[in-house]
Amino acid sequence: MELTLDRLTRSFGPKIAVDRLSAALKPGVYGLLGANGAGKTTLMRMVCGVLRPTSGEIRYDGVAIEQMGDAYRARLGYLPQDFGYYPEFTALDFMEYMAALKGLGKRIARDRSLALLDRVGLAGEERRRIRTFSGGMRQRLGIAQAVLNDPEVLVLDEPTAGLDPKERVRFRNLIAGFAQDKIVLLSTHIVSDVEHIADEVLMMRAGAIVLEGRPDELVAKAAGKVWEVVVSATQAETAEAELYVSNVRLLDGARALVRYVADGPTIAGSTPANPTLEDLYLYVFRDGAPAASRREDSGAHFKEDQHA
Amino acid sequence: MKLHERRALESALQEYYRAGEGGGCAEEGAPRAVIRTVAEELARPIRPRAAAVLASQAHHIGAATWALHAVIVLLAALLVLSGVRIAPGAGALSAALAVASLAELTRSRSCGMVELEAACVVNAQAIVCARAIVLGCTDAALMLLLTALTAIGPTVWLMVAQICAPYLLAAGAGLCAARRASSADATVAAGAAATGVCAACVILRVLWPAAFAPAAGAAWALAALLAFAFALFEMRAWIRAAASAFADAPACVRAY
Repeated sequence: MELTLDRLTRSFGPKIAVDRLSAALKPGVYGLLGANGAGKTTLMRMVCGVLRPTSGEIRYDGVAIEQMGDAYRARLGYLPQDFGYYPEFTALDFMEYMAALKGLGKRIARDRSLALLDRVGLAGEERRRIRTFSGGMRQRLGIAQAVLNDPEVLVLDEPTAGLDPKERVRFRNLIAGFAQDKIVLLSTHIVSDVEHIADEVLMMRAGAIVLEGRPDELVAKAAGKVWEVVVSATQAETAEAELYVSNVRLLDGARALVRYVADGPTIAGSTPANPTLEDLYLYVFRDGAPAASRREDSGAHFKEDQHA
Repeated sequence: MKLHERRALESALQEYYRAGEGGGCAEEGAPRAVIRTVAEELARPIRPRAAAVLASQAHHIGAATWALHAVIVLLAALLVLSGVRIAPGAGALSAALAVASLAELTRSRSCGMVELEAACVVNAQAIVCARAIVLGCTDAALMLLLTALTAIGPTVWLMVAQICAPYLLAAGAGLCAARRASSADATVAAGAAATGVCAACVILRVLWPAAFAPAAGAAWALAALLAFAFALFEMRAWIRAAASAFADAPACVRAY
């Protein structure tokens, strides 16, 4: 099972949303990290066959997905960033409607719908109208419909956006449970989501992948780029304006612990700190920084020099 | 599984067992693995037949749409039974049918379902086509009924043109407006455009009754043809846009 993205490009008029992106995805969870406008949603729509690439190709087990048509969509599960529902639908109506669109027979559709609603914690809510659901309940319903047809490729676009921490943890556990033997592509700009469940992280910027690798490998590569220093509260404010500060924690009195990312210590007295994925994200997406040189290692790959 | 895939698999299995018969047994678990793979493939969802898609979409057409159609039919029936001539208002009634059908046809977009539907085996294009066929056939039958109620003898074809032209113009205008509006406003835009055509019919009838005389038959036939071409163009554009979940819709700003 392999999904190959081959020099994908998608433009909207003069704007290039995805720029010659290539990747080979095997079974596992891929976390797609990037700021707003990085091209994540456009990429996901192309993977789902909703948008056609301007150039390039997506292949599933060597066959172009455009050529496969229905056969590819039968293997696909998709949860868009914003999904709607017909206002009269109950949760069960919605699931059965989606099951019919996915080609499932009526009896299988009902049985599977009820089982999945139970699995995502919506047992007892089958006859309730979706418009009365909370955000978290709606997202859980969304992932339930995405796995109705037991897909081989599962695409989740910002599935935890807008959820409270408890719902996010619950959702992450659900995704981890559904991800067995599948290619899961999960986009988010919440780093902790990716940190906990992704086997591999793909960082996107300006329509291309600038960094990819296992979370622990990427974090290790960010060693020596994260610094901590105790300064006065006033200095902390100045530091926030001038540096790429990932955290400011006020200490006793008028002092603050400032954590920032930089190639070297910028404030006297800074000590190196253990990096997290969030620090790496801040380092990669800092504005106006010179491009890192390309490194070809067994794990992580920095590709910023393509986008200087 | 498609027929050619099934045949290819059958011939591959035949080759495999022929090779095994000559001695030199294959791995023990191989036949079981093949059976399991074939069973998984056969259990994979397949695209339903066209009739099943039509039936499913007809089942899911909202009650409000059928209620609107029923109201229009009841109104026409009441007027006829009261002895009121409905020929003057037939064009407006047919445009109102278009309003009712457009509300359903554009719902996928305004309710935010189109992106989910576009990634399914029965995708957004198929859904639009299925609903258009169901609603189009219903409206065609109702317009035939309207013609039967309003036209007598040589005026039948004139009445057909005077009923079809507003319907097709309203349908085309509604789809055009809905495609250019933002997602949430698609149905409202479609309804507003089609209602505009309905109102124009009423105003035309009031201000220029001579336009509906038999002498204007050729003009109405031409109008009906042009309206048909316009409606066809807009339907084609709507179906094409549905394939990409309206990501390329003209006035739509999308976050990517």
